Amino acid sequence: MTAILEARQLRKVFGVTPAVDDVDFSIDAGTRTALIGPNGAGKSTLFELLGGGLSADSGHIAFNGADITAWPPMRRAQAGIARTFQIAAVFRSMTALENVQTALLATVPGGGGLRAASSAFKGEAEALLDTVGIAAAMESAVTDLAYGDVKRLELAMALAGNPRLLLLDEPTAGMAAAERRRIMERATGIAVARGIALLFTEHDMDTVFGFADRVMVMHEGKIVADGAPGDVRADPLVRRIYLGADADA
Amino acid sequence: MAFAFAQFLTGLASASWLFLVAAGLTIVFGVTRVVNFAHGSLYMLGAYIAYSLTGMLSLGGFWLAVPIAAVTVGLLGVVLEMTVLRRLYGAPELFQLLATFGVVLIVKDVALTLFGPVDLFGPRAPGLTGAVRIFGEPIPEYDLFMIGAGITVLAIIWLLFNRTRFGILVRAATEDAGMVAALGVDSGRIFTLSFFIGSTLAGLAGALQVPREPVTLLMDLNVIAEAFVVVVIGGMGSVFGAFIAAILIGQLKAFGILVLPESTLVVAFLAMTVVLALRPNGLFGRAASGPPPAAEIAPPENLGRFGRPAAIALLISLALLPLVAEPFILVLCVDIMTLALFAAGLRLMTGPGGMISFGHAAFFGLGAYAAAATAKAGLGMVAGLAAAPLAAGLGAIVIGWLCVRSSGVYLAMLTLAAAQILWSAAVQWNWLTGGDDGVLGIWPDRWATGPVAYYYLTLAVSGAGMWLLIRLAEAPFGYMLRAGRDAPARARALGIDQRRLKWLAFTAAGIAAGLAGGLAAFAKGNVFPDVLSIPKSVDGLLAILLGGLHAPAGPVIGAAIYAALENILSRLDHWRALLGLSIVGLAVFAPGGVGGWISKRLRHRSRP
Amino acid sequence: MLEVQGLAAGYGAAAVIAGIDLALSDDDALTLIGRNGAGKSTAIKAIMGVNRPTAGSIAFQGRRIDGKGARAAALAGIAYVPEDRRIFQDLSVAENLEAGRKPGPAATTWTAARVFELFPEIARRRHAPAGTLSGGEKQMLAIGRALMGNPVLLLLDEPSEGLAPVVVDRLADVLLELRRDGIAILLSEQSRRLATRVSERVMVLETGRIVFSGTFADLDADPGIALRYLGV
Ligand SMILES: Nc1ncnc2c1ncn2[C@@H]1O[C@H](COP(=O)(O)OP(=O)(O)OP(=O)(O)O)[C@@H](O)[C@H]1O
Ligand SMILES: Nc1ncnc2c1ncn2[C@@H]1O[C@H](COP(=O)(O)OP(=O)(O)OP(=O)(O)O)[C@@H](O)[C@H]1O
Ligand SMILES: [Mg+2]
Ligand SMILES: [Mg+2]
Repeated sequence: MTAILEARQLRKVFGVTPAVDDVDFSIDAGTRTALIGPNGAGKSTLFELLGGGLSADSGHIAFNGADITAWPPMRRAQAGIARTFQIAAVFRSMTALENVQTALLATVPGGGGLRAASSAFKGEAEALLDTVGIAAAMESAVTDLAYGDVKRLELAMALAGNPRLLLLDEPTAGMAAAERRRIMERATGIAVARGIALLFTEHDMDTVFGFADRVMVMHEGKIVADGAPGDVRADPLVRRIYLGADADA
Repeated sequence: MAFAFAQFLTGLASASWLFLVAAGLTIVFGVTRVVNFAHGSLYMLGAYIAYSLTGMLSLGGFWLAVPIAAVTVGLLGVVLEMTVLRRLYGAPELFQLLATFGVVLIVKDVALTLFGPVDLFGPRAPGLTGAVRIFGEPIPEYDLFMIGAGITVLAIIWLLFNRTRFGILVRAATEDAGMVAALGVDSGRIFTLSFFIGSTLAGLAGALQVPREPVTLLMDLNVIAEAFVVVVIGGMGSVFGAFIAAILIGQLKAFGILVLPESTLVVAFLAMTVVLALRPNGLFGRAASGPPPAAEIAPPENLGRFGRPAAIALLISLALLPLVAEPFILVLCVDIMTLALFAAGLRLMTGPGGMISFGHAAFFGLGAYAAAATAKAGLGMVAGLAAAPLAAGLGAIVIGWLCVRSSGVYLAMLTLAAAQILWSAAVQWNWLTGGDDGVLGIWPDRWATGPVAYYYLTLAVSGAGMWLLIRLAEAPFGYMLRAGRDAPARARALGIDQRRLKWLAFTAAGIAAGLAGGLAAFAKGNVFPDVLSIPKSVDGLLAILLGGLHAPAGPVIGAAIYAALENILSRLDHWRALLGLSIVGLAVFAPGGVGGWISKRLRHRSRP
Repeated sequence: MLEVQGLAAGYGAAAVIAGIDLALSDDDALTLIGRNGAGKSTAIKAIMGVNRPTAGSIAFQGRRIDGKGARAAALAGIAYVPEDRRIFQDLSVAENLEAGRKPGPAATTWTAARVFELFPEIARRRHAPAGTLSGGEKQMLAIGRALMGNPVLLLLDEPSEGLAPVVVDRLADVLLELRRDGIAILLSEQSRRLATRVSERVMVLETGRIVFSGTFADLDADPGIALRYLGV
C-alpha cells in the first residue's frame, strides 16, 4: 500500500515547550487512523500543521508525493486535504444547500462568472447532503439545524473537493452515543467507498476502538505508541497515561 | 543639539496630551468594543466646562476647575453609556460608528447653543506661567507639567487594569459579560465604570488643554482623528500601546513641522499606514477573537419573487418621470441616483464583504477629479466618464491591497487615512485641483446637456452599474465573499482565497464610487475638495444604514430617504442635532433599515 | 436545596423545555441525559438564570431565584460550567481562576493552589493566556473556575467533553468528594464513565420533557427506554 501522507521530523515549539516534538509517521491511502493522547499532548497542534493553519518550525510534510511543508491552507485544500473543525464551522448566513454549493464552487478555478450561484452544482450538492444523511434539511438555514446535523453538513462540505485525506478533530465531541455511532458510520463508510484516508482525534474510546484500524498515541509531543487497536489498548504505558484503570469496561 | 532637545520636550508634552485623550478612547474600546466617535465631543465639553468654571470660581480658579470639569464629563459619559451605547454592545461596528457620530452632531449643536460660536481664549495656568531653561533653551513649565501628568496617568491606569481584581473583571467582562455575571459579578456596573474612567480622561485632557489653545467648536473632530490614529497604531484596547504611539506621533509632529509644515495630520496618517502595513492589528493589538456579531452575518434580505417586478416597475416609472416632473425634481433624482450607485458599491464591500470603509469618499473624489481633469484637457464627457471609474479603480487596487490585510476598525481607519491624505493633497496641489477654489466649468457634451438628457444618462449609467453590483453579489463571487466573512478558517480550508476576494470587492466598490463621482462632477459642473471629505463618506454609510446593510435594494431606498430627510431637516433650526438624533435612533432601534423591514414583511407574506 | 417545578424555557418564540420538575437535597446528585437537542443545556441554563424561564418556579435553599438572573444565582451559591466552556481567552489561566473567586467571608476551601493540584496540566501554564490552552485544558480551567466560587450547588454541562479518560476518572473522584462535603451536583452528560460514578439518579429528557426518572440501575433494567429515547 502507498503512503498518501508522510511527516518527517515535524516540530512545533510554543515558547520553550515543544507541542509537537520531531514526529515521524505516514498514513496509507484508504486507512482509518485514530490519534489519541492526554490533554495537551499536541494532537490539535499536529492537525494544524497538517492542515496548514500553523507552519512547522522544522521537518517536512509530503502529500501525494509533493512536499507541501510551505503550502498555505488554501493550496493544501486544493491538493486534496480536507478537514472539519472541533467546533463545527459553517457559513451561518446560508442554507445547508448553499453551504455545500459554495464548497463546490470553491473547487472551480476562477469562480464562474456572473451566472447566479443559487443554481450552480445543485445536483451535486443534493447528492452530497444525501450521502451524509441530511437531504431533508436541505433548505434550512444552518442556524436552525441540530448540532449533529451541523457536524454532518461540515462533513459534506469537506467531501466537496473530492479529498484524498480527511482530517477530523474530535468529530463526535458533544454528541449523544447513538448519534456518535451514526456519524462515524457515515464518515468511515464514505471514506472506504471513495478510498479516502481518514485521520481523526477522539476522546471517546468506543469511537476510537470501534472505527479505527490503526491507533497512534501522542504524549508530550511525541508518538509513544502506534499499531493495531488491540495492541495499543493493551499497552501498559498507554493505560497509565491515558486510558486509565478500567480500560476494557 | 539644545534646540533638538527642546523640540523633543515639546513633542513629549503634546504626546502626553494626546495620550490622555487616546487612553480614554482605547479603554472604552477595550472594554465595551464600542468605537466611540463621540469621545472627541467629551473632550471638547471638558475644555468648555473648564473654561467657564475658571471664570466663575474666584477661589482655586483653573486648578479647581480641571478636576470638576473632568468628573462632570465623566458623569456625562455615564449618561451617554446608559442611554445610547449600552444598546450597541455587540452591534456591528458600522452602527456604533454612525450612532456615536450622531452624538457628535448633537453635542456640537448643544455646545453652540450654550457657549456660542466664537473661539474662547483661556488664561495661562496659575503658578506654571513661566519657563525653565534646559541647555539654554526656554521650556514652558506647563509643558513639563503635562509630561508628568501623562506618565502619572499611564502608571495609574496600568496598575488599575493589570494589578487589581477590578482590572481582571473588566477584561473578563470585555470578552464575555454574560459569563462574568454567572460568576456573581455585576457586569453592567463594570462597563459603566470603565466608561466613566474613559470619559473622565477625555474631560481631563480637554480641561488641561485650555491654557494651551483656544476652545472652539472644531475641537471634537480635530482631536478624534488624531486620537484614533494613536489608538490604532498602538493596537485597539492597549493603553501601553497608546502611550508608545502617542510619543511616536508627538515626536513626528514636533520634528515633522520643521520639514513639512501644515501637514501634521497627513504625517500622522502616513505613520499609521506604515505601521498597519507591517502589523495589521497595530503595535500591541491582538486579532479579534471569536466570531463576528450575528447582525453582521445575516443572509441577504432580498425581495424574493417580488424583486424582478419591483425593479422593472421602478425602472419604468423612472423612465416616465421626465414627462411629469419639474426640472428641479430631475436634478434631485440625479443626486439620488449617484448617491445610490456610490452606496451600492459600498454595500457590496460592507455587507457581503464584511469590510467597513470610513473613507469611501476617496474613490468618489478620485473619480470626480479624474473626470474634471479629462474634461479640462478637452477630451469631452465620455472620456471623462471613462476616466472616472478607471482612476478610482486603480486607486482602489493600490489602497485596497493595503486595507484588506487588516479588518474591522483597523480597515475602517486605513480607508479614512487614505481619504484624508487625498483630501489634503486636493487642498494643497493647486496646479492640479485648484485647491479650495476647485475645478469649475465641467460641462456634459452637447447631447447630454439639460436636466432631462442628463437625467436619462445618469439613469442608464447608474442603473447598469447597480445591476452589475447586484449580480456580482448573487454570483459565485458573492457567495464565496460571504463564506470568507462568515467563517474565515472554514473558507480557507475549502481553498477559498478570502483576501483576494475582499480585494476584488474593494476594487469593485471603488470603481462604482468613481463612476458616481464622475457623474456628479458633470451634473454639478464643478469639483471641490469636499468630494473627498468625511461627510461625503458618511453620506454613503447613512444611505446603507437607512436602506438596510443586507438588502440589495437598500442603497436605492436609503439614498432616496436620505435625500428627502436632508431636504427637510436642512430647513429647520438645530438641523444638526435633529439629524444626529435621527441617526442615533435609527442605529439603535432600526438596525435592519427600511430594506430589511420590507424584505421581512414580504417573506412573511409569501410563506405558504 | 434545589426545588424546580413546572420549569419552561426557550429561545425567542420557540419553546424548548416545558414542565420540568426536579429536586436535589444536600449532597445529592442527578444526571440529565438525552439526545442532542433534547433540552438538557436549556434546562441547566434556565436554572442558572442565564436564560429567563417562561414558566415555573425555582427555589434554592428556600428562596425563589427564578427571573432574577445569573448573578443572583451565583451570589446564592450556585456555580456553572457551560457546555461551550466560556473561559476568558485573553486572561491568563490564573486570572481566570481569580475571576471565579468570590471575595468576602464565603468558605474558602477552594484556592487557585488547590485547583492546580487537581489539574497539574494547567498549573504548568498558569501565566499563559487561556486562549492558547488545548481543548481539554480549557475544560479543566472552566471546572476549576467554577470550584473557585466555593459553591453549594454545581451545575455541570457536559464536563467530561474533551477530557482524556484518566482525567475523567480524576474528576469523578473530586466530584464524589465534593458530595461528601455536602455539595449538590446537577450534571448533563453524554458519557456514562463520569455520570454513573458521580450520581445514582438519572433523568431522561426527550424534546424538552422528562420521560424517565429513576436510578441508572432502573434505566438499565428496562432496555426499551434506552432504545426509545436514546437510540441505543
Ligand atoms: N498558541 C499556543 N501558544 C502556547 N502554547 C500552546 C498554543 N497552542 C497550544 N499550546 C500548548 O501546546 C500543547 C498542545 O496543545 P494541543 O492543542 O495540540 O493539545 P491536544 O493534544 O489537542 O489536547 P486536547 O486533547 O486537550 O485537545 C498544550 O499544552 C497547549 O497548552
Ligand atoms: N441559542 C439558541 N437559539 C435558538 N435555539 C437554540 C439555542 N440553543 C439551543 N437551541 C435549540 O434548543 C433545543 C435544545 O437545545 P439544548 O442545547 O438545550 O439541547 P441539549 O439537550 O443540551 O443538546 P446537546 O446534547 O447537543 O448539548 C435545540 O433544538 C436547539 O436547536
Ligand atoms: Mg485538541
Ligand atoms: Mg447541551
